[in-house]
Amino acid sequence: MDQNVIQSMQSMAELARLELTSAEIKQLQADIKNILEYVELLNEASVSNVEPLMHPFEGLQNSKTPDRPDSLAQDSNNAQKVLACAPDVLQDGYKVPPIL
Amino acid sequence: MSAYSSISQLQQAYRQKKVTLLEVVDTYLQKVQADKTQSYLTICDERARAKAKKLAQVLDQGAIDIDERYPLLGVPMGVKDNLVLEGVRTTCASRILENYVPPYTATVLDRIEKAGALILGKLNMDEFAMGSSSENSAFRPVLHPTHPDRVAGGSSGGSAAAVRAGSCLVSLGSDTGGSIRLPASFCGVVGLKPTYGRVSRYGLVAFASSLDQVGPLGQNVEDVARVFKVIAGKDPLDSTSVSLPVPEINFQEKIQWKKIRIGLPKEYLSDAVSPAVRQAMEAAKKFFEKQGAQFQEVSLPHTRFAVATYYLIAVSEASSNLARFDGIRYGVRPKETERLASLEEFYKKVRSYFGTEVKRRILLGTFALSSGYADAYYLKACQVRRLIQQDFLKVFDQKIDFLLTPTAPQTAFKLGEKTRDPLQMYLMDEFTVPASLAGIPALSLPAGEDKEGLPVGIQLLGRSFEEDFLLRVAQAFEKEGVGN
Repeated sequence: MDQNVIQSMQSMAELARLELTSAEIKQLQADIKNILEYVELLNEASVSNVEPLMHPFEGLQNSKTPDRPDSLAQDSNNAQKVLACAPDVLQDGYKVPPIL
Repeated sequence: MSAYSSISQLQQAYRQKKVTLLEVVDTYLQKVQADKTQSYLTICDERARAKAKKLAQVLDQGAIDIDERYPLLGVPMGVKDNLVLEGVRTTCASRILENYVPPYTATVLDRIEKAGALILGKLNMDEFAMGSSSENSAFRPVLHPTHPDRVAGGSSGGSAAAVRAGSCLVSLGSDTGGSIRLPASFCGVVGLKPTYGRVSRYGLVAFASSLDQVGPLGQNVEDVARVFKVIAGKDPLDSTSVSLPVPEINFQEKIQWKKIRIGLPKEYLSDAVSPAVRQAMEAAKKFFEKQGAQFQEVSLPHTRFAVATYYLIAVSEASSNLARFDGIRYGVRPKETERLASLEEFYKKVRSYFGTEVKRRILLGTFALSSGYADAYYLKACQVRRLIQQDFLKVFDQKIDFLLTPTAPQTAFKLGEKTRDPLQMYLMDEFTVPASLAGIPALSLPAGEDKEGLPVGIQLLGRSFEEDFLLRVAQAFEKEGVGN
C-alpha cells in the first residue's frame, strides 16, 4: 500500500471540509487502508478498451418534452418558505459568516 | 381490531363499513407508539388523522372507484426518512439534518398520498442510507422485529422492521446497493428495487445518484405491486426518470412455466453462503422445477469485482452529493460557529455533525475522485461497471427469463457484530450490488427460516423494466412455495 495514499487522507479531509480528531484520523486511516487494499482487486479485471459506464441507461435519449421548472421555483411566494429552512437569515437573504 | 394482512383485506373492510379510516389510523398509530424496533424517527399523528378524516368524507360520498382513483385508500404507510415531506422533519438519520423541515414533497410521497395513503411517520435508517444494518443511525439503531439482539438490515431497516412488526401495512425504502432487499431479507418481508429510472428520485435525498432508487416493502407481493404501480412512471421533475409505460400487473394471468428458463449464477453460491441460505435456495429451486420451469447454471464472471466497484462509485458520488451540506441554507448551524473567523472553519464545524461512516465515505470518495487517483479508482470502477452490466445482458440474451439467487449470504447478524470492520459490513451486499450497478430490477422474497427462526430471503433478478414479470413469479412462489 502506497504510504502517500494514507498520508494524503489528511489533505482529503481538508478538501472535503471535514475536521477530524486525531483518534478519528487513526481509525479512519486504518479502515481506509483496508478498503483500498481490498479494491486493488479491480487490477485483476481486464479493462483495456472498455468504455467507463457512468449511468445504467446511457443509451436512452434525452426527453424532448420541456421539463417543468422545479415546483418550488414556480411561485415567488415560496422564497419565504425556502428561507425559513435556513439557520440564520438577514432580511431576504441567507446570513453567512465573514469570508474575508 | 386485528391487524390487516393485506391492502385488499383492509379495503374490503372499508367497503363493507366494518371499520373507518380514522379507526384504522388510530389503531396503527397506537402500534407506532408501542413499536419496540425503534423504527420511527418522526411520527405524523395529527397529519395522518387529518388526512384520514378528509378521505373518509370522500369515501362517504360514495361511488368512487377505489382501485382506479384511490388504489392506496386508507393504507397506513411508513416512509424512509430520506424522502422529503413538506412540513414534516426529514433527518436522513443524521444530526446534520436533525432540525430540517423541508419546504417541498418528494414525488413518490405526493403520489402515494394522492392515491389515498396515510403516512404515519418517517422511518429510521443508516445515516444518509450508508450502511447495511441500520446501526449507523445517528439517533438509535433499528432492532430486528422478532430477534431484538439482531440487526434489521440496512439501510432501509426501519422500512422493513415496521412492516414486519405491523406498525404500518406497507412502506417505502430506497435502495442504492441493496438497501431495500437486504433488510427485507433479514426481516422476512417482500422488497422491490425497481429498474433504475422507473421511479422518480425527486425529493429523495441523494446518496449515489446513478444507483439510488425508491421502492416498496410489504408483507406480500400484491401489496408491493400495488405501491409500485402508484410510484412508478415518468416525473418531469426527475430528468433521469424514464417515460416508458408502466404495465398492468395481472396476477390472474397464469405463467407459462414450461417456457420459463431460470438462470442460477454459480458465483452467487460462494463459500460465504450459510447452510440455511443454501437450503432455502434448494427448496425454491424445487418449487420452480415442480411448476415446470427449466434451470440453467449461468456465469456472471465479474461478480467478484462488484463490491469493490460499487463502493468506489458510491463513495465518489456521495462525496460530491454531500458537499451541499454547508449549514448555510438548511440543516444545523452549531453555536460555536458564531465567532469563527473563516468560512473554511465554519464548514468544518458544521460538517462535524456527520457520523463516522459518512465521513469515511466522503473521504474515500474525495480520494477516489482526486487528481492523480481518479483514473486508477473511479474511472477503473466505471469500466468494471460496464463489464458487470454486460454479464447480465449476455445472460438475458441467452433466453434466460430471470435469475434466482440468495439476497444475502446469511441471516440477520447480531447488533455490534460487524460495526468495527467496515469491509465485513460492505461484503454483506455482495449479492445485491451487481443489480444496482447494472440498473436491473431486483426483488427479495421470504423463503423460509434458519434454525433460530431468522428469515431467509431469495432474490429474483430480471430484465430492465420487467418488474411486472418478477412480481408475478414472486407471487406464485409466495402462494405455493416454501412455507406454504
